[in-house]
Amino acid sequence: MILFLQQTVTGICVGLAYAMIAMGLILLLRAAGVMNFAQGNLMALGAYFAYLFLGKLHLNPAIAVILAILSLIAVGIVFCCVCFFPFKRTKWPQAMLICTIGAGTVISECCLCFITTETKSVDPIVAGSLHLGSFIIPYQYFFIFGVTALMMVGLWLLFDKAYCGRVMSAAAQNKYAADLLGIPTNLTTMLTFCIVVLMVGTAGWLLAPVYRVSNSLSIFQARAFAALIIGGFGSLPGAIVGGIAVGLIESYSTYFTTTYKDVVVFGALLLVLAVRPQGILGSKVKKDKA
Amino acid sequence: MENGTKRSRFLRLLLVSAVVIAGILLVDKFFIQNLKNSRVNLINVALIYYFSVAGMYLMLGLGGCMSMCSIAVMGLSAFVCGFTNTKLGWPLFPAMLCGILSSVILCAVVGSLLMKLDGRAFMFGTMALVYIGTSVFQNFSAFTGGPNGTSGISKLTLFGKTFSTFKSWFVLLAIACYLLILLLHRIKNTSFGRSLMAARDDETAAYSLGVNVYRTKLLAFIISGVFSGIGGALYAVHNGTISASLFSFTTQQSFIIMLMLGGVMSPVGALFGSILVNYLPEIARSAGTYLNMLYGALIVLLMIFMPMGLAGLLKNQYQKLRKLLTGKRKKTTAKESA
Amino acid sequence: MLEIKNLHAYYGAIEALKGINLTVPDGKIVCLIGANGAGKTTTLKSISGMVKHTGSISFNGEDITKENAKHVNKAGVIHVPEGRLVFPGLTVYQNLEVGTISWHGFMGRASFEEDIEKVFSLFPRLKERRDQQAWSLSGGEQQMLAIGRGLMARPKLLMLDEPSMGLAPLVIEEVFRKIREINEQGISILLIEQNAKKALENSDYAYIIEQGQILFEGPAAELEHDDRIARAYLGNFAKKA
Repeated sequence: MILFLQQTVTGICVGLAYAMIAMGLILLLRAAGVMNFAQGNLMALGAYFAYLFLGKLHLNPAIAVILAILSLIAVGIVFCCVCFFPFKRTKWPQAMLICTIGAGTVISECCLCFITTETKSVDPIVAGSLHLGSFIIPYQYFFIFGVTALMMVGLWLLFDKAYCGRVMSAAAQNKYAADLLGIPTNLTTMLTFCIVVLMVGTAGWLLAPVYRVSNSLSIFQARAFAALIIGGFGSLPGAIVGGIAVGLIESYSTYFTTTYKDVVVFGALLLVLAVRPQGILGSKVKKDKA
Repeated sequence: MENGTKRSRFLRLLLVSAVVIAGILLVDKFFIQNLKNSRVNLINVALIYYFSVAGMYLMLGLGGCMSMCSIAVMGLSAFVCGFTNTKLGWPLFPAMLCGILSSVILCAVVGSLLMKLDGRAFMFGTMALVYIGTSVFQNFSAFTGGPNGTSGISKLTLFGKTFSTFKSWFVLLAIACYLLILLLHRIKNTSFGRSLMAARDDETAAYSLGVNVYRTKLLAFIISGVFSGIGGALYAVHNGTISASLFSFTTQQSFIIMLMLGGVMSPVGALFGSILVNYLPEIARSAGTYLNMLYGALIVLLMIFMPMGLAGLLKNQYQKLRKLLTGKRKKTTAKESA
Repeated sequence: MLEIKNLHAYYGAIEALKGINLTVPDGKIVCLIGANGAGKTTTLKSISGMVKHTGSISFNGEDITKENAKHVNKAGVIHVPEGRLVFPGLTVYQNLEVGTISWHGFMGRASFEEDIEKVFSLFPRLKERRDQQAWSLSGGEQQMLAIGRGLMARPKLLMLDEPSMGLAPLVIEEVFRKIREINEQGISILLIEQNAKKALENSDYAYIIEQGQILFEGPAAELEHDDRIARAYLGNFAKKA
């Protein structure tokens, strides 16, 4: 029973991190029309900035956080300029996807340049775990939960309550109409990129102490894709639900197997595609949405 | 008249084939035989990879579907071939056939599920297959030998000759790739090929014209599975040892790059893309630690400036050149008649 | 007043407009009619700066030839595009809201409640569906939403591209009624239509465009009875004078 609770909590926390990455994918998909295959590398980048500013340079945590945020925003701007603007009038949409693969490789190699070996560890924000009898949860999981929840609320406030958020949504839904109205679509797209890189980088930083920092972290990217499909492709709530579902599936799978975790998670993806292709939250309508 | 054009087409084919085979033999004699064994291995593996890349050309270039599972299908075929040959003691050809058959079955089953879905869901479904495959190949020791892989696969014996070294394989693989290119060209010009391209361009329009989009795409998927299966079996026999770490998503990504580098609409381009991507690290050894970064940057630049790959670039230049030449000719005739 | 002189427009190397001269006087409804591909939408796109063009476009004395969509909107010329193009994932209210961007500014804080009320009083059906997502609206409602969104930008001249496209006849009647109501409030209208009959019935002045050039122009009432139009665009249904 305790084990079940423990796994549920871990599953939800990690699932929220997956959800953040999945939400980032959806936002980029809507704003730029591209499925970003560099998402895992961007996560790793966040973790590396954490390692660099906190670990290697031993900066004051507040300064480190600010520097990391600024660096991630800069990366977002560059990423947008490289992987989006040149493709605005492309005839071959897959080209953008492959460009993100290339960009991802560049990012991970740059990380490798800073770090000599492939795996380093990032200290958790608060070391140690909470002990309630035999119920053990490392403190880091609370931070994962807290920060991701905060970011999701922030996104909801932005897109649902703020004028500029709505303008950004409009630009993502129909660029031509937005241009006609005078919406600065290039600016909104770039903003979206920066927000996504921030989100994903933060997720990387949060998850790094739990999973060792590796320059790829691409397995998270694959989990995020699974989250998108399972939760219902194309919607932000779907990404959240899907992320949590994947986290729970992965967590519960440790009951009966540790080596075949991937098989369980991706087998679940195939199962969802077979039985309910629109995902948990998806509905069969909305063909011209996003 | 029809017999005449058919015959002339056939003669042209014979001529081109003769030239190509002569070229292959020349390259083999003067280049391959003098090359280091490890480098020959790279070229051979590139040719073997081409089978999977050709399958991707069929799915993506002609069919408009981003299929990401070629590596998993290839892996299954390779391991089945290895398993039946080493653990069950089957002779080589039945083992290879078994491998290919297993990939066909896999593609038929998975394809029938995934083809009903839209493009993105299909792409993710195939990705899921790759991750499942990686996990199974790495861990299912009884079948694949786990992290150690399968080794000791028999050598190929054809017409009394045993292919025991990498160098002996080159001519065979090169000719096989040439036949594959011919096959792809042929497919493009059948009604199946045209239906596939119609489905790529506009599914609804194709459907309204009587194309069974689902069946067409499923057939394309299975054919690409056959190609990948052949590639997998060839890989098993060529290398003699297969290890699970090869059959991961990273290799799949390199397949995509091979296809896009060579030209997503060109089978010949894809072949050169394969060779380039596989062989480039050898040539660029001096770049050392920055190699991968340059590689990634190259892909970015390639997609921005040359999304149609090398083949597309060459085609553009050829057309410009032709325009220049015919344009000049037209000008002079106009002057003469004036 | 909108004045266009010698407008040439280009899609790459193709010249789509070959010297258009057109005027929209204050407070009038002017229609530009012609067959598919004649250059009607291209004219509007040139005015809002979405397509490469040369020539002179001025509105109320201000030269807007080289301006992009944002500044053209600020000058008071609003383009409601062909095919409605409402933002499907936003609600009716939110669609109207983002229409204010050209004067409200990305980070602005001004209130637009008055503008919303005006649009709702003009289109009561939209008020009913205020929190409904735009993809679920009917064609006619989406058209009204698109026009309403254009109105939110506080236009002095409203350019409508084929507002009747794909709509049922009764709905077309209603749309044109609303267009006339908007005009009565003092907003000039430049109307692009393939439905020549409806356009002529509801306009003050008309231009006929074909293959990038103005064939002829005149008061709409006269052109309704003109044989040339009848033969070319109305299929011989011209009313006998």
